[in-house]
Amino acid sequence: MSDRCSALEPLHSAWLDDELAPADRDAVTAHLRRCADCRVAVESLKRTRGLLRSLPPRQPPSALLSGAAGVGARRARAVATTSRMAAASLLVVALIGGAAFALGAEPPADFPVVRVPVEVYLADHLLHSSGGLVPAPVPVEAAP
Amino acid sequence: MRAAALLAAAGLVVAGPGGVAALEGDEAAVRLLERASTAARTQAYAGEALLVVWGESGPTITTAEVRNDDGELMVETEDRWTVHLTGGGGLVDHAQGWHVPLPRVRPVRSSADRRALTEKYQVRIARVEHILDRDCSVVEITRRDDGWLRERLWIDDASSLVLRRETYDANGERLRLLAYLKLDLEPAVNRGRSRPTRRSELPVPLTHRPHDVKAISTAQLEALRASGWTVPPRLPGGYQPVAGYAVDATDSQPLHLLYRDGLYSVSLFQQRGGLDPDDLPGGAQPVSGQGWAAWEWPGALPHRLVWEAGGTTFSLVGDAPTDELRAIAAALPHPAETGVLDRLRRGLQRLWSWVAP
Repeated sequence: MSDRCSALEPLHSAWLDDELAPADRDAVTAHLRRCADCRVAVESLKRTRGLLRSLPPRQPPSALLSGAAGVGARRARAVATTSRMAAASLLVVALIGGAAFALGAEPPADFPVVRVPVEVYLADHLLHSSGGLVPAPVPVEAAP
Repeated sequence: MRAAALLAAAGLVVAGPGGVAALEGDEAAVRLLERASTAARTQAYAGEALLVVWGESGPTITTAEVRNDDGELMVETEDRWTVHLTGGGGLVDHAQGWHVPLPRVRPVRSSADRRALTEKYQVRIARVEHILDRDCSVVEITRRDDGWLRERLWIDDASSLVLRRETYDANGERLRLLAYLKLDLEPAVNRGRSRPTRRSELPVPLTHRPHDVKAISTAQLEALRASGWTVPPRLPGGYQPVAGYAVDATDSQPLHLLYRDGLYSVSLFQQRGGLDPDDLPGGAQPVSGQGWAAWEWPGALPHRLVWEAGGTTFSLVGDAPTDELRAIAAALPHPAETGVLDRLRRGLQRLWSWVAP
């Protein structure tokens, strides 16, 4: 086996799968035309892969499955924990925001509350508006 | 049945808005209104008047005995009110048991009324009709900007008294009606038949007031404006200032500013202090618009709006249509709108002050 064979041998599998870049693919193809040893090696590799593909599928050992399930469960627990933390964070933000909104109302005014003399206003309006061009001096209250 | 009979007697089934040919121009119609205004104060008369106000819950119907004797105007409704406007009278609400004495003051007649009226409204004599066996000129008052017929008045050709008045909404539907069912132009001669049924006992007065009240001068109004009172040079809708008064109301002295557009009157009252809605007279309902909120008394006339802004309580009282009164309220001071971010920032600062005082 020449140095050239050694250099190109790692590319045999990819050549079979047609996964090489064009330059590498051309180089391997040209070498295989000239080198019988390498053609035997590639043929052998091709058969081996055909055999592997013809084998019936096998279930992984139950222990391995349980281990994989454990990994999934741990991931699920991690996701759930993250979600709960996010929800809790949102709740805290909402509580603080709600409290801030409630506390942020206008401060109570410090002026006194007075009684509005609506009756006096009504009387005074009737009196002073009676000088207009079209006075209407009769008050009306809607029935309750 | 009585309400239906009263409405029928007032001619509601036959009279209504409709197009008619103008008989004369604005000038003749305005002169007729001025004569009617003078006659309302100087002409002796007595009669029974019907007043109907249409609201969302239906019409409110009131009848009143009206008497004008030597310039003393007395109105007494059958169920509730006594109004004695001139000569140091008062306003009495027999149903609620209160009495407001009125100062002896001459109502202000303003030359601005005529100008404001003709600027905002088209006034014309539309036709002649026969009411209470009397010839009447029918005056129509239409808003110039949108052609909205707001009023029809039936003015007695002989006495110049307004015998009937109808107020309309934008669709031509009646909002208010004042119509005399009976009228006596010689009440002194017929005193026995037409004398109002005066109630002899008056409730305790709400306030004790001086008999003489002087209008606030222009210079005084300027001083009030400079010291923080709201004194608008005019109100939305073409309402011009007429006069200002310091109201005597026992525990406070509100400012009263009177505005007119030539047809309607609006009073703006201001009172230093906050508003307690629970202490308002019964029937107050919240009402709000773009950037303002207030309390009102639906179906009441004159209309009333009350609200508080910045430590001052504002009250609007007027016979202006509700849409105009609300536009006026919207243009006056109201509490500033607080943004959500401002409120959150203020609240967070308060929270933080508890954590790190």
